[in-house]
Amino acid sequence: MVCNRFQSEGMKLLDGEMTPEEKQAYEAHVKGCKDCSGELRDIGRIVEFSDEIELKEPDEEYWTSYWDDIFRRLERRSGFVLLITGLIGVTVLGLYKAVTSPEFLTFKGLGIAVVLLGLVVIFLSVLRERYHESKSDPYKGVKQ
Amino acid sequence: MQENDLDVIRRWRNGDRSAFEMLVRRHRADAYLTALGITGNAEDARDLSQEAFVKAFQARKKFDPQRPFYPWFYRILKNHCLNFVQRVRKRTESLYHGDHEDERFASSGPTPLERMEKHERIELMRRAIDQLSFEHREVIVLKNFRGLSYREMAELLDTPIGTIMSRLYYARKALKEIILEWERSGGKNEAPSFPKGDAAPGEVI
Repeated sequence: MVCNRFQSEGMKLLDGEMTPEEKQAYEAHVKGCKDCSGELRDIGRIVEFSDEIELKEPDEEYWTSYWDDIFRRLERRSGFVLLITGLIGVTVLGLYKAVTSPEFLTFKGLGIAVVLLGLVVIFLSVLRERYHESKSDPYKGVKQ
Repeated sequence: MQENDLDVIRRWRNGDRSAFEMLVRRHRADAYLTALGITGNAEDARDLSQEAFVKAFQARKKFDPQRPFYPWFYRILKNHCLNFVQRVRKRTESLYHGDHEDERFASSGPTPLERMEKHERIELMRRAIDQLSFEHREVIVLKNFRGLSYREMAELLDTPIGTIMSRLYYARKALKEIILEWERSGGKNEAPSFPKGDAAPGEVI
């Protein structure tokens, strides 16, 4: 069982978040507390070694293409939405025309209807998959 | 918030891409480096941070202009990273200093032995951090890699300072246990041994 002062005060001391008065008071406590002195030594070493890791900051050259990539993604997303919307419209219209056409029961009419029906099935399958993914996403409750 | 910021935010919310570009310029390094700290992979960090910016642009109408931009954006980024870490636990390359013999790392220790020891410590810590839960990894990244204060972390995570300290404590305790476990199992081939020092920072003598 670790001294209950370590979790808050020990962390603050290791992270340099204590006022001089708080530090003095806690250091006085640590002198007589084996738990705190032991944890300060062990966790302190972890903090020290964590601090040795530095992330490589990219140079200016790296950032020149960064915004361009974002802009491209935005453009493509807009294009993709328009494309899908158009495709759905054309498919549904084509399917309607094929079914109501007097040529529907011919080889040509049935062929077109089957192709369009296939597109509808694929689209519904994608929608169903996305729906199930969103239902099973364990982090959907995380606020944004 | 400065008037200038408010103007940029107003223009961004109206769909102005040049205003959005300004926001991206301001926060791209924070976004990228946080994602890098969490994923440990440069390509993934770039992809996740860019995707978070795209989402932010699309969700701009939901943003409350009276509040600061970055904490709101951070939650989008965090969700992306969270899903990524859970779905794709991979590490194809290392992006921390010390993982390769780059010039900055090579010159950081006074002797070859010390440089090697530091290299091993960094590699060990990097592997241990990968084993942490997302919540614990997040506080280590923000505190130790990004250098945020408790107050800044509390604002960013919308969490009380007491909870931040508690998470940091348990994250560090978990790191200690992971490292001790490696040592106990004799897995020195899997991870370098953890050097024992005589003194530790913050130790009260």
